[in-house]
Order: sequence, then structure tokens, then C-alpha cells
Amino acid sequence: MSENIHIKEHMELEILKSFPILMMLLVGCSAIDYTSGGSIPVYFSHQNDHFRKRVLQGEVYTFLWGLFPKEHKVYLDTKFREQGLLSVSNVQIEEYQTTSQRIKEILSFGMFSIKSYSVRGYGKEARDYEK
Amino acid sequence: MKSSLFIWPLLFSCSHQYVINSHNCPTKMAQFGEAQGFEISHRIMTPFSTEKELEVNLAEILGQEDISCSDVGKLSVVMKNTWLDSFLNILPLIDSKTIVIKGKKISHDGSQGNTKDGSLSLFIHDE
Repeated sequence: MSENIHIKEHMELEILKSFPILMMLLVGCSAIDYTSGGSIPVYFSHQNDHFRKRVLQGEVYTFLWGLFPKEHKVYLDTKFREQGLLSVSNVQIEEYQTTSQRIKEILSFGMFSIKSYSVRGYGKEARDYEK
Repeated sequence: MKSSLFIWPLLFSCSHQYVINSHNCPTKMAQFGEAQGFEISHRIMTPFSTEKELEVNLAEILGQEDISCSDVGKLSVVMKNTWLDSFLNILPLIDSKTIVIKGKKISHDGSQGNTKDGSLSLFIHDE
């Protein structure tokens, strides 16, 4: 009986110990804004004459529980233009955190966080306009 | 270590992958761009599932606000983890994320269709 009480007390202590860690992880806030500066048209919807597939991949770093930077902008037009496209359509955005990224976040108590994104799009290059 | 019991749900949450697409959106509409007009905040709360990918359809989110894809000229998508999302993610069986769609409406006569307060209006001109 007394052993059960001891185990219970021990568990309560463990919960209390882990509570500050959970609270530190709780405050992690971050935002990634996928937008375009307008240098090339980037359509969300599908277009028939866009057939060259490109996949952009990147990582976003945030510090101090997501306070810096508060919002990270990903300019899709700039990134797709760097890959030789002059118009992009059928954009699909994927955002995720790998296990190793999550572990790093937990080990740093949320002070350092990494998120990955992958943006797929179909587009037209300059040579496609010449045809 | 009993505290490991509280860490495993956090590790589990990393296995989800949000995929944003725009199925059912008409062609030549919904172009990306920085625009000031309407703003829709939509929280996605998913019960724990073994599926790696969680699909998010923009057309559906816009539809819930009675906005047709063809009425949106420019939009940007913000994937956000708010305080509430972070709190919900601690709970073992829920995965939460907020998607903010910022957009500008176009009218079908080519002029801008945003009202002063940023809400939507649709201009239809009959000849």
C-alpha cells in the first residue's frame, strides 16, 4: 500500500518536472507566408500549356520560440524564375518537420526550430514561348 | 523515465505533412501575389491518423466562406502555428495548424472588387 503511494508521488513529481519543458515547447509560434512579388505569374490553378515540372525545397529557421523572425516570406516567383521558368501553375505546397528537426527543437527547448517546405509547380520556359 | 511519456506525442506530431493544393479551381485564376483585401483564418484540426500527408484544399476553404476560386485575383497562403495550435499539438491525439489565406478579389469586369472594409463584393454588369 505504502509502495503504491510512493510510486504515485514519484509519478506526480515526474509530471511536475516535465511541466516546464512542455510549457517551453508550448510557446513555439511561427508562420511561413507563401506569396509572389509578381515578377512572373504564379497561378495556383492548373494551366494546360505548363508542363515543365520544378520542385523547390527549402528550410526555414526560427529562433526564440518562433519570435525571430515572426513571419518568414517565401517568394515563389523569385525562386521559380531562378529555375528558368517564366510562368508557373498548378502549385502545390508541402510543409513538414522531419524527426531530426523535431528532436533538435525539443533539445533546444524550442529556442531553435527548423521547418522544411517543398513547393511543386509546372511552368513554361523562354523556349516554350518561341514555339 | 516517466517524463518520456510526455515527449513521445511531440515526436509523433512531426510525422504529419501538410499538402496545400487547389483542386477544382478554374484555370487562369487564383494567382499568387501580395494583396490587401480579405483574410480567412482556418484551423485544421486532425485527429491522430497514421496517414503521413494531410491534404488541404484551398478551394474548399474558400468555399466555406462563400468565395469562389474564380473570384480571387491574387492570394498568398500563410501556414501558421499559433499558441492554441502549439497547445493542441501537445495533446497526443490531435494535430492542429492554422492556414491564413490573404487575398484580393477581382470583379468580372476587370476592376477591383474590394470594399473599403476589405470584405468582398461582386460587380456584375448587364449590358
